[in-house]
Amino acid sequence: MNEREIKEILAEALGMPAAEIPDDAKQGEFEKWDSVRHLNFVVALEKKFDIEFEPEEIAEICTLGEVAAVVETRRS
Amino acid sequence: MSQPEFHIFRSHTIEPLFSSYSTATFSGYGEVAMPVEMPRTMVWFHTLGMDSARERLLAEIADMQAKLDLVLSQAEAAMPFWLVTLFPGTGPTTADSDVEFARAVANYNAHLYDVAEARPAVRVLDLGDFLGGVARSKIIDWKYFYMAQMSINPALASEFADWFEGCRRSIESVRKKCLVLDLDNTLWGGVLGEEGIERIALGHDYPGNVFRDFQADLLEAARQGVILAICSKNNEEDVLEAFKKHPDMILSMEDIAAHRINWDDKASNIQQLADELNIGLDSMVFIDDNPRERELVKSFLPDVVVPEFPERPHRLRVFFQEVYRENFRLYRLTNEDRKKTQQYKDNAARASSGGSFADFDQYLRSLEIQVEIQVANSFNLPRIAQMTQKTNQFNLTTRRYTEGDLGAMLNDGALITCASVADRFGDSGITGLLIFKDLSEGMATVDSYLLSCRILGRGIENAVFKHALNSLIDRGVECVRAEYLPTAKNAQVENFYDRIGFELEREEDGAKHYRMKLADRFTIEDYYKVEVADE
Repeated sequence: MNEREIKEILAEALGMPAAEIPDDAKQGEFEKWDSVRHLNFVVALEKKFDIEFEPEEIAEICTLGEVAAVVETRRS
Repeated sequence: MSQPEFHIFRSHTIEPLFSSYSTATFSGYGEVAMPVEMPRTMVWFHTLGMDSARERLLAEIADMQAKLDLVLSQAEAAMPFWLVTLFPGTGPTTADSDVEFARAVANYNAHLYDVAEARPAVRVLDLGDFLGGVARSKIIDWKYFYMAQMSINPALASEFADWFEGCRRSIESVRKKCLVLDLDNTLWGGVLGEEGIERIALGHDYPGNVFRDFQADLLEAARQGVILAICSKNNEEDVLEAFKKHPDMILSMEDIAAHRINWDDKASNIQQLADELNIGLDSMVFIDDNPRERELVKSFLPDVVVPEFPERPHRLRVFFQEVYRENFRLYRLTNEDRKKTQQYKDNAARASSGGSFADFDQYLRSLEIQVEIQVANSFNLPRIAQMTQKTNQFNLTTRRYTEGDLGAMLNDGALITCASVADRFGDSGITGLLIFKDLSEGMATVDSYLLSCRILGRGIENAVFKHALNSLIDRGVECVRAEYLPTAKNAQVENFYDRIGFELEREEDGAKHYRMKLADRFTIEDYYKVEVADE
């Protein structure tokens, strides 16, 4: 599990190729990563890694790095 | 921009369920105004609220129906309009087994079918078709309900999309007309020519009972207008005798519009049936248990629909349900033309005499809209900053500010006010923001104006803005400047200032710059109660 895998999931949720997502993309700033697609993304992460985020976390995970870190802690 | 495939009138957040339709547009929550851009199809998809107080829950359902009628009265009659039913399982658990609640939901759904009967372009999608197969505990994910007002679990999105797409296909594809049926091991078990009338499986024991009930399904389909035809390799005499004499034969030859019972190949036979019935091959569905026959028909007559046949007899009925749904289902109850004009007139008369709204103004009046204007203070500043960060659609300039930025602007003399909106269905809290800057020598400039999408569609945008202009007049301001800065999301406000009455000064790269000389106070319709909060 790494940022690349997470980026793939994000790409799917945003409906665009992973290659077009910059590594420093940020939820709310990167145009396609809006709040609705963020929900799709979070749901996909929950399914893929069989975890459940806390609402506070959902609001906080805004970059690929932040997502990876939270997923890591939830799984360990 | 291409024409939106759907515009969805909704009461809750449902975008994740429709993410496969990239052009879909959504109303505000409970909004009844027509969309700016006309879609190919409109969808009415309201879901139950979570209010555990029964009175409010029931009132909400009644209101939903009144809103629907209002929306329908505004939409072109020819606009394809799909109505999604209410499903009790999306409501609060306190309402489970409440008779009044069940009745209200049933009445609402019955109303949808009544509308579909009266209006040819209207179809009803039964949400129970989809959610009926989902465990109660999976229908709602409370986290997403409380975070994002999602009344249906977003984890169901892909299954929902499959269901919705299936509905779309069967609505938009032409309904098939004719079922062409094999006999041996299809309408009864066993081979008639080998086993004889007495020995074929058709009766009250397994598997004969399945075939018997399958025939009953077919008979019902015939009553609903499906043409039945037979195409079988058999001796015609034997078959006619079996239909006449077998005590458990549900179908009779009178139910069969045409038949080819011979030893010729089935592709030629089906072609002849099509000619005899004067229908196209593309309106036929062929049911046969023999994979070789299915292959033959598929390759020679590619227009005929040939579903896979189940291996085990007990799967026959669920198989037929699917075949029926895919190919023959009507999303309306009656013939297109039946008395539609008269019924529509009747409904319109009912709407004006009963509890429904005759027009938009009356609807707005009924909402008892209250707007409270608050000047920025340390309590509401965090919310104000958050709104500038999050609001995309109704946002004239899309300037993002932190609390610090706003504090600095206040020190520079900016006038920052926010609006809190409530109506008889609830309090939306602080959902509007207006910032004026450069207030000097009778001038003022609108720096930001934005509203949360959940309060749109009630004309509040005009009332709040006019109220603000009136207070500028009271302060002695004589001229206001404003601008619209385009983004990917805010096209809906492109002409907002034109509608208010501003004068366009110049336009560059899509940005529009306006000014207006203030003179007379603006009139605000009396059904908006706008008040300024005490500081």
